[in-house]
Amino acid sequence: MLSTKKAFRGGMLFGAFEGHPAGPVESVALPEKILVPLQQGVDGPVQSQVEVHDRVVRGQIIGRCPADAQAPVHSPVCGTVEQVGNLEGVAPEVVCINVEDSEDTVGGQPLGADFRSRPAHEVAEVLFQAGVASMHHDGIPVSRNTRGVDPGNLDTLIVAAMETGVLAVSPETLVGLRVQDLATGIGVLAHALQVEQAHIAVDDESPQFASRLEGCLATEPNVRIHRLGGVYPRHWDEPLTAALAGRRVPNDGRACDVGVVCVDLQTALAAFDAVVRGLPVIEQLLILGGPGYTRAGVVRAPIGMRVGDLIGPRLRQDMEVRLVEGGLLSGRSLDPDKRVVTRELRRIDALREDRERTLLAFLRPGRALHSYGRTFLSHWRASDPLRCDSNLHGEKRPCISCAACDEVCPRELLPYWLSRQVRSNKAQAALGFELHACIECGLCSYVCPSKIPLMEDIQQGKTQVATEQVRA
Amino acid sequence: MPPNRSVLRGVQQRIHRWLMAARAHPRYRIFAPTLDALDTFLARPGQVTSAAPHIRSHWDLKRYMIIVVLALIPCALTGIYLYGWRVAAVIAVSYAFGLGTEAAFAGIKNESMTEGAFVTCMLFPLTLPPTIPLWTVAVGIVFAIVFVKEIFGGTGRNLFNPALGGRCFIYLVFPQHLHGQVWPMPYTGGWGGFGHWMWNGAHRGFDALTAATAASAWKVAEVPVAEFTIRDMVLGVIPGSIGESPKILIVCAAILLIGVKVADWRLVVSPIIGALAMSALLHHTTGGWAPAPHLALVSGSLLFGATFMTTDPVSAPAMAPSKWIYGLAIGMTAILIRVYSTTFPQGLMFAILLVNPFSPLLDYLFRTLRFRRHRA
Repeated sequence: MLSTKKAFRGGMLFGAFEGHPAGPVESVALPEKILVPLQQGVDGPVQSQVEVHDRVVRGQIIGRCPADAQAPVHSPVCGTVEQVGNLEGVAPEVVCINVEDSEDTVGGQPLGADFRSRPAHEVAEVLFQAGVASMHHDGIPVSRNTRGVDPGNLDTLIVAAMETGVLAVSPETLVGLRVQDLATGIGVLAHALQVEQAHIAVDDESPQFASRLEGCLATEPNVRIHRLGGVYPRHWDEPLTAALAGRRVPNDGRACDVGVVCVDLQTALAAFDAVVRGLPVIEQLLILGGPGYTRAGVVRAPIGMRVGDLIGPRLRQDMEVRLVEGGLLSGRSLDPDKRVVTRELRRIDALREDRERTLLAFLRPGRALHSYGRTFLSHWRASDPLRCDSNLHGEKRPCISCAACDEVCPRELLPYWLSRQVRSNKAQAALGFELHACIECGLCSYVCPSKIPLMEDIQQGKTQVATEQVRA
Repeated sequence: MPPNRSVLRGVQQRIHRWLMAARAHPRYRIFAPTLDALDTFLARPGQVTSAAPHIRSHWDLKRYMIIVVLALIPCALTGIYLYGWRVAAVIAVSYAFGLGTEAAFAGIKNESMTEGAFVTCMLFPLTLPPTIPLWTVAVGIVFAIVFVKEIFGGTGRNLFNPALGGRCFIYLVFPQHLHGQVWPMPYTGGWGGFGHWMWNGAHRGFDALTAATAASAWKVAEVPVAEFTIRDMVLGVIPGSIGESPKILIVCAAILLIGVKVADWRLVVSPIIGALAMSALLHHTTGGWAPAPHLALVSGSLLFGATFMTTDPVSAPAMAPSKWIYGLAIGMTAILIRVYSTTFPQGLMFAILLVNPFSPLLDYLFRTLRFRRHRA
């Protein structure tokens, strides 16, 4: 078993926050209209294959790249195409479909459970045509789009069957009863990519899930399950590649540059659906967490559904809410009217916008206040779910070199030093301190007691260096 | 809403209105930082995050510094118990002049007042002898804030520990008040100093007792160790600075500060290890002339300094290996000065101030090493 202490550096363990998502996966009612962007996931835009007033069926390809280099886009519902074009600021090219109440589905020819008898390139082609290849943030280098990687160099698959960070959801919740499907999906990916070994990272808070998955994978010789503590950002590509494959992802590079393909749970499940059941990527599991929801949880939503339609009925009306996609620590805020569900969307958190001026805030015992320093009761006595709001919780102050950012940095950088360099316009000097190794997990800014936006400074440094290079 | 809370809210809102008015008016702008400090002391700012991370830790500098002040309060109370209510006056003078200077500088520079001054104004008086004249306290704290902190660019940029810098200044300029017959025996038993303004009995100074204890050249705050038992030293009922006496309370404070991550354990442990190692070495090589290591630990200000002075994050280095070297160097230098200097027996203060300027250099060294290793 892996020694997690040696394998990972820094990071931070978060407890349960208010509005923690849990419970079984819920389905949502279909909206009247669906807006499918023709550019999704990591892939480039594709061309519409449908005309206005065409009838489309669930699973039908509605967008395809002429050279077949980008994964196609499918209709998530049955209905009639109402418009094609730039609609309502959602994306440059969108297919708008009026939804019909029908369950008809077309899909690829399922290869079934004996996909192993098929050649790897055939399985890879199915994954590509189903859109699975563009699901994860770096994409899966298969078939017609190898994403600049020589497929012969890939030898390791890493599946992050865990989530870490604020409002992280347990794998049991996401996978539910589909543990066998997940195991098969991992087998599908391993077969399609022809990797020598596969590593699965599982949160050690989910021992039952790990042992069930272990049981399902008993017949797979080259798959190893690692139980890791749920320290953020351990489920990210860079720490997992370093710890499980023993390779360092190059600065500004991807895991597949060093022969490792990293995927998450949803991608493995989608691989199962595509290859075994013949279903393309037309739905997404979305995690809805945070105090801004009346009911936090996980929903299965069709791709193209407007976020406003999806979360509208769940949002609390009695508080100002900020919606964030991609996690509260590293994500960005979104406009529910202009954002639709796409292949890469994994979670939408509803954060309380807190502008209240709490009296003598620094003297509070803090039973529900989370911090890096252990000066609040919440660290010593886990009781209430932790407070989740957007307040800075303090004044901006000069750096006192407490080195808390250095301690949590998963890349062994010195965020305070990088920030100092960038602020004194010495971004080039910061390059010598591995400015580009930053994976932008946001922990440094989170912990800083002086409330310095360290991650923003580092991002700004990267931009500065890039503009200087363009000018030179 | 309970009435006291609404009263507090009313005061805060009134101050906030004054703050807005002061900011708007060029003539009163100089008061804005002071009003801002009062306003944010009473209520945290309502500012929200603008980009990722959208959520921030509740840990801020106010919390950070208030914990240090809380850890110092038992030492201050013990100071009053041992030496009378005058100690409270010393602390009050330190706060009045220290915060006043800080407010004046913030007003001139039009920057926020920072919380570090609260700790400096508490630490500084606790390192002084109980008989210190109040005007000396005022001179020292003003020097500490102006010449040790603000001249270097304010909080976060000072090279030296402000409290010790101020103490060093008055130590050298007004030696008569920190040297010789200034260390009274503490009150013990009953209400102790809580019933008195100040000690008016005989002082037990270094000069008076040198001859009697010539065999032991060892001094605790200039008082020979041979006069006291280990138990007295641990309980702190020996002459010394106002706050450094109760060793048990200091150890509790150290545990608290390390436990809540306000002090780095490396910075607490390393000077103690350095001091123990150096005094063990000297004790054995000098055939027992230099005091034994356990005496070095419980006498004098080593524990107080290791807990509150070396752990000042600004003047200490930031990287783990540099912290070790920094702390070890402080511990060793302190013992060397204590044992071999006849004029300046208070080794720790000089040791910390001597090693302070090396911390950027140490950090530079280990930063370079870390990133050279990365590239390899």
